Amino acid sequence: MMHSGHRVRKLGWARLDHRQPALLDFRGVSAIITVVGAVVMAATPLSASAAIDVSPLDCAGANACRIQSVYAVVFWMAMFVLAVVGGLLVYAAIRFRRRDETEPAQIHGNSRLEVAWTVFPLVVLLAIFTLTFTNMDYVRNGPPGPITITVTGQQFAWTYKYPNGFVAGTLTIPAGEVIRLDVTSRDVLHSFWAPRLGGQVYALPGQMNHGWLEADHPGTYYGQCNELCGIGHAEMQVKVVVMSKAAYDQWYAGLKAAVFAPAARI
Amino acid sequence: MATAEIALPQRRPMRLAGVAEWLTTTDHKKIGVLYIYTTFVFFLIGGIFALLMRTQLALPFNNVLSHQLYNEILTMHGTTMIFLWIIPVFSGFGNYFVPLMIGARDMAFPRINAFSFWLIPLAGATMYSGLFLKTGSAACGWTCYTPLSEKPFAPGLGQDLWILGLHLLGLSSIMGAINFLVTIHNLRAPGMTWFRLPLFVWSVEVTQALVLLASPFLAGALAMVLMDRQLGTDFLGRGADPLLYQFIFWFYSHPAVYIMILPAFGIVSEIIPVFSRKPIFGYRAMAFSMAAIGVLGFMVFAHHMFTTGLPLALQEFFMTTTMLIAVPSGVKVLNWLATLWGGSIKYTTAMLFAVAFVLMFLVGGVDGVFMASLAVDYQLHATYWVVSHIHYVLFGGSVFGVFAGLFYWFPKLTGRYLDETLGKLQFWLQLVGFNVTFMPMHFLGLLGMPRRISVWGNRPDWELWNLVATIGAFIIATAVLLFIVNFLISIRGGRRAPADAWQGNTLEWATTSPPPPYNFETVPQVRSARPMRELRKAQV
Repeated sequence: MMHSGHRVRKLGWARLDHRQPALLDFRGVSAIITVVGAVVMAATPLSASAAIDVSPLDCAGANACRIQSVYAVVFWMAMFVLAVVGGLLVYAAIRFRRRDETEPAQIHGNSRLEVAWTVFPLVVLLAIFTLTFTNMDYVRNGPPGPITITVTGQQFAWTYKYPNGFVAGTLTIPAGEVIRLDVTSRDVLHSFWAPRLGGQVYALPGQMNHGWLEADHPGTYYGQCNELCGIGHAEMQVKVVVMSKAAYDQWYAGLKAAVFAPAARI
Repeated sequence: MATAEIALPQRRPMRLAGVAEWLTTTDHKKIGVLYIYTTFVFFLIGGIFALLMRTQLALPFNNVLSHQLYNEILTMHGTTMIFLWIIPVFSGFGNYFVPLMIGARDMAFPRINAFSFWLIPLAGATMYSGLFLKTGSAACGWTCYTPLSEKPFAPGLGQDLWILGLHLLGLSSIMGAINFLVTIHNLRAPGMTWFRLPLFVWSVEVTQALVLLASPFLAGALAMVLMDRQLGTDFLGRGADPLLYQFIFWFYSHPAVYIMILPAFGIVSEIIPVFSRKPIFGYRAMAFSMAAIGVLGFMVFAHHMFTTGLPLALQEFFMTTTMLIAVPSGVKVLNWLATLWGGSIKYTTAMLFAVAFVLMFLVGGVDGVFMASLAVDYQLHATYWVVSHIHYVLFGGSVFGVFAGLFYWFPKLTGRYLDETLGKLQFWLQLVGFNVTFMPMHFLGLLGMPRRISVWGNRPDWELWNLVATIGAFIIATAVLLFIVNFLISIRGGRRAPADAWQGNTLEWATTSPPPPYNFETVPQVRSARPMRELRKAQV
């Protein structure tokens, strides 16, 4: 925690503590329902592999967590609107059922009311707009970072090229550092996405898109291509291995020899 | 009756003559019925595609469909539901009811009308024929972005057939649009001023203006892809900006979303007042909000491209317009609510579908606002959240609107009511099935599941919701089967309906059920937005 607190301040991002539990954690909900629906699930051939979590709500880095914090506010505003308007609708639908054959009052409209409910959504939307707008520079452009990695999509794999020329099929990064991504494609459109670490960035042939991500803790994070790119689209996985800074530095230093090994180049 | 003896041997040729009449008709009502029947068949085909996809995705590492076949079926499901079902079924309702509602004898161009219709089955057959090729049909989703749809990545003929099919549909739409607009502008009965027009006619007016202005852009984009593929040009290939196609495509396809929902707004705006026994609340606001949606609908298209790396300022512009378009949509929902408020609501099946429409559209509107927020869209773009959103709008919205319209207008089309007991059973099954299918897709999106993946595994979080969604899909299928049963029973044996089947407001109820070929014996004089109500009052 201390490590993370330090890092948060370093990024000038003390306002939002992303370490709060996700406001709407569906894994919790599904766990409960899974118990209830055990009979149904018993028939399901569960995979033996380790649980892989790719929920953007379960953010594990500065970019994803900033987005998650925006999402959380939008979520509660949306729930408020849904509860009020949906509630009134259901109430009216039940309350005003036909009881007798008398014709109800023929009301054609009410200018004041109509102005009120033109302004009401405007206010809600203005709030969401302001919230989003003030966060966009951070989410999109991010803080400067020491490492830039070129991400190239091709049917149906990702490759990552490091500043020293090393190319790999797995993205290895140090924890707590901002990683700048230059994203491009060799063939069709792809979308690079590691949901727990940041928003997605399209990979376009002949064009370089820029994004960034950051991971707070060492670990392995997953994602996959998020733009239909052909027959193998579903298998175009993203794997991000996050090492401690020290371990990464050691790993990266060890790559120097590999630069000259043709086998490592694609 | 004295001729009964000789009438019997004539039955066979008579029937053939009947078929020939349907094949050659230029009567707007017959064409409307043809549209509705044909597109309903496409709805069933698209539904079977959906069930296949849900079966494949029900379990992890499932192997019902191959990657290639899944991608083809995915493409055909989207294309079918959008271009062969929702858009043309509303043309069917428009064909049948616009002339009746404005007090006209037919559409302005009856022969063009027939031609517009007959292009649709032809287009469907053209697209589907790709499925029978060795190389398969188009497999790039209904969006078919370049360069995936270009020759190097989609060498098969199926892609070309898909483009040709869409070209035929575009042609049909554009001719239909001109026909509708000319009809509404020129053939209104005396006294049918713009602000006495039924809101369904308003919705058709705005929709068809969108069709006329937007469809040529899709045709242009597709023509470029086709020329790249067949003539060796390079409009959208290697040398082009990879986003050019998307800009043109969405310049059409975002308005297309409103093309698909506005007529449903219109239908629901007819049904809710009739069964609440109140006038629509804020008629002018309802008409203006549709026009506002039509205009703003052209200015939001790049919100489909927030993650493609557009400059931030441009993204923020499109975020602003996208949020603005939520305002007229919100006004509509609240005006429907106010129409219900203080009413005397009778729950026929049509009304149940109409009220559920408002509620489901509300959900689809609210979950759309999430994606208008740029930051959130960076995570939710192209996930199952989007799948959920589009189905809340286009299924919970548009398709519920279609069923509301089918139950409401069936007595006018056939002179018989659809069975209400079966109808209500269908409604509840469909409402439950719909939400069981698509609500979990919100959760799947939040759990990071991308749309358009042909297989998934190693994601324990996704297992429950995928299974639930698949179960829901089969509940929907059961509901639709119930409708078919209801239709088959009711078309022959349903309760007979009088001319004014529901104490309606609009002119289609002034003539017999079904209406005669010439629609009205005398052209009615219109004095208010609810001419039938005036007529009933005058008779009492």
